[in-house]
Amino acid sequence: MTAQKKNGIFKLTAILLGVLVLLTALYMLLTKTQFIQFTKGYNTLEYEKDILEFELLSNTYIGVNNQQIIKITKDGIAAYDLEGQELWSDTLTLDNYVVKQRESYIAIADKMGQTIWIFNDKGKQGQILCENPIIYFSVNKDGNVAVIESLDESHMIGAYNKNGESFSKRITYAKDAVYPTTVELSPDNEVLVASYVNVDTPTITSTLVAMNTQKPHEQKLDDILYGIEQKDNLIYEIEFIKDNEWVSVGDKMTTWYTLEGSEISRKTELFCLLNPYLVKSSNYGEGFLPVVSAMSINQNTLHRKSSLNFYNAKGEAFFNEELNEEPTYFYADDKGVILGSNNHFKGYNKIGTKLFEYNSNRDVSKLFYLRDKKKALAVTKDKVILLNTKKEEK
Amino acid sequence: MKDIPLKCLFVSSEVAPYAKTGGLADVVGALPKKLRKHGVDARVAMPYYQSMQGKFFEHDEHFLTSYNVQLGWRVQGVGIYYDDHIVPTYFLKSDTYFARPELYSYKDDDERFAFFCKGVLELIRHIDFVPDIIHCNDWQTGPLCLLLKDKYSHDPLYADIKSIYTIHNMKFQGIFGRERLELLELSPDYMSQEKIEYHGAISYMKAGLIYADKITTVSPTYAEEIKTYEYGCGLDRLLSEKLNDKIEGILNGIDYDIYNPKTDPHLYVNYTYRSIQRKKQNKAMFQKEYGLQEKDCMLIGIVSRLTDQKGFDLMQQTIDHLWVMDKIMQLDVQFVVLGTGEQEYEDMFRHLAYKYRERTGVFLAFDEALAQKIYAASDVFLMPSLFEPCGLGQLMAMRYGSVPIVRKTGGLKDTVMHYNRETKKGTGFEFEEYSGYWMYKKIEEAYEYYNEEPEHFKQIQLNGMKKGFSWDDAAKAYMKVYRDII
Repeated sequence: MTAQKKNGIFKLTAILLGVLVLLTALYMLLTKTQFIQFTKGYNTLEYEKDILEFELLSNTYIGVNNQQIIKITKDGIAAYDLEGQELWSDTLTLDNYVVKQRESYIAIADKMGQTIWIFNDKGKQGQILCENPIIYFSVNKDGNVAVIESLDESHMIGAYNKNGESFSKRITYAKDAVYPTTVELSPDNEVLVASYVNVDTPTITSTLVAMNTQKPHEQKLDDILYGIEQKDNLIYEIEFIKDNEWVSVGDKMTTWYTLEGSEISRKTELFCLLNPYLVKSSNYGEGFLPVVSAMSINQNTLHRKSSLNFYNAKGEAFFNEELNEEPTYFYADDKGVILGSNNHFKGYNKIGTKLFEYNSNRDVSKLFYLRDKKKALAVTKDKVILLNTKKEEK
Repeated sequence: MKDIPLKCLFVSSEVAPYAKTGGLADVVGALPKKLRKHGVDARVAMPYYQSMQGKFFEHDEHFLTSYNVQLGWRVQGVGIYYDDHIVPTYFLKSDTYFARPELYSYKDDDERFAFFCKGVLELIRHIDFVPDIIHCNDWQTGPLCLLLKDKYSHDPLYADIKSIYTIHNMKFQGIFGRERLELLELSPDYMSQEKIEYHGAISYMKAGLIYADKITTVSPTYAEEIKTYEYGCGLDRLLSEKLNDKIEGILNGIDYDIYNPKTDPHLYVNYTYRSIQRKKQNKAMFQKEYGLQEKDCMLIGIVSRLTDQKGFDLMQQTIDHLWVMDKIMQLDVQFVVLGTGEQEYEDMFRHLAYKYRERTGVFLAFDEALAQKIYAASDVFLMPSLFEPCGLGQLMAMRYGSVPIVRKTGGLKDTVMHYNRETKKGTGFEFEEYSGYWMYKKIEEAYEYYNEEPEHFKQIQLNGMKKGFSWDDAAKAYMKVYRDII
């Protein structure tokens, strides 16, 4: 064999190897991100074991945070692993409590109470003592909290860090018939976005107000960055779907904005049946807003046949599926969504590929899918059950 | 509205100090006394039990009168004795019914207390006292409300008398066979849901609830709880639907003259909230006297009847494959228990005493002096009750600077406030879910405060000691109720 021929074979082998490596890398990338599923069909879930029991009559909240099972009762909070072993716990005294989660933080407060407790997967991180009774609160991915507090004749919008220090405050007087309905703190903690509703106008008007939370000790006359008015639309939800983009969800209109307040897109015929609360917003890609909405409108009557829609940060729908049953359970995080109704649950990843289906003969109220572990947790009225993925079905 | 003084006759099957098995006696022992200080002519009527003879007054000197009581076809004589060295009290003496070793749990309890109710109503004909209000307490006096309304109110002597019925414990209802209607000379018409029928039997408590002009319970929370399925003991719908407007919760108090750490003769060392550091001396001397290890560790006290109601089954649940009782003892704590009750719990605490010698004192008895010592010596006081209409233990514990750890139910919910370290407000630790896990966690929380943040622990003690739970507020609330109905 001549040296030239040998050299040619060597080059060909190198090229083939290179292509092989490239293909392998591409395969791994695509399957890892679940952008492409090479296997058709989806998983079903099967019972593995009971891992936790709780009092039937107690007002117990069960959630999942960073692969820990979180149990909250009026007496406190406890975290467990998938074997049901306690990882940490803390005592609280609660009455009519509300839980807000934004991984990896959990915030708990009593309605009209004055204390908010902040936890993450290591236990208690802080305690916020508000000056006034709490009407509404939300937590962001750093564990900082946005709050609506009730004053005698007014409301206060505020932000606190997880150590309990206030770093933004705004008072609105109710005599103007303007009430705040929801408030969110941006992921970078720099902007506080609140929605106010004015009931003193011929049609309900919502006003979105963004406030600068930076340099809290600087005395400014007005720290408002911008205000946006939406007539004939009651905004009840604000969601940061990316670090610098957010969405306002109203009864008649859903609108996408940049952090600077520029409108990206709006949908006027999006009748959300279930609030798109993202337990964790996406760090990568376009971000997504999952919505369960009514199909269409006919004069004043909504056709209750619902559909699951995914929107990207530009407000473009990229996935739609008609649902046979109207869901009563809707869970969304950065990886996808889970829908459930009548003990029948379905999971989708964030590009709309169905990951699993689960039919239970028990009364299951919630389902969490732990993708990395290929397991799921089902919550019944008095138990948390561990489920295993079963072989795929075509 | 009638002019003051109001005249009120308390009717109760037990009254402290004469006869006592539970909180009912404490209430009727203290409330009339306090009402009298507020200008009400409050008097008491109770049975004359065998155990009282020769103890409280000279028998013959206190004889007032005697008369016959018609009870169905029988005629029974009753002797009335009167003593007023505490509160004017009428004792109904019948050897047939009350000359027995115990107060209750006899086969003819229905007849005994039907006789008592009728005897009290007849008493009014024989003494110089016609009350504006007859204040009945618990199932033993329920029939009195019925008889007053349907049998006696036609008589001008009784026409203006109103009745109040106080529920001290919903669990004990006085359920008896329907054939006992004849005792009260009632027609079969009374066996209906609207009257006193209860699942084919008759209920003395229901007689009180339906026929009284007003119903009170011993705490505001318990007044709401008894309207629910969990706490209503089968009468929840009656209470929530038909009698809702008639029910009011008035919190009991304690006698601050008797239960006062400043003057209590049973304590080793007296103290006030200003000298609370002297409370530790009580613990040290208690440890010495009762053979506990002499060290400054958290002492958990229990003074209670040892029954299911008091939540001691929580001790038998498990955490991490350990009994809650053992889990508690893994902490550096000591345990003192005083009380009697069900065999199961007495045995459980005997076992505790055996297993953790020198760390546990278990006294299966009823001893008021020792109880006061425990309130003074203990750092925390445990009351994990399944239900608690009012509860006096936690009030006494707070008065003596012992921090209560309680389940959030009934009167415990109304009187103990969970400590908030940010506001420094609160008088104890509460848990709501009826579980050994959370009971243990709250004990652990108290333990952490005791050992790691003593300044906060002291704050809780002081908050409790400064709280006012005297009978004054209760007396004023009852006076308002009396005035509202007459």
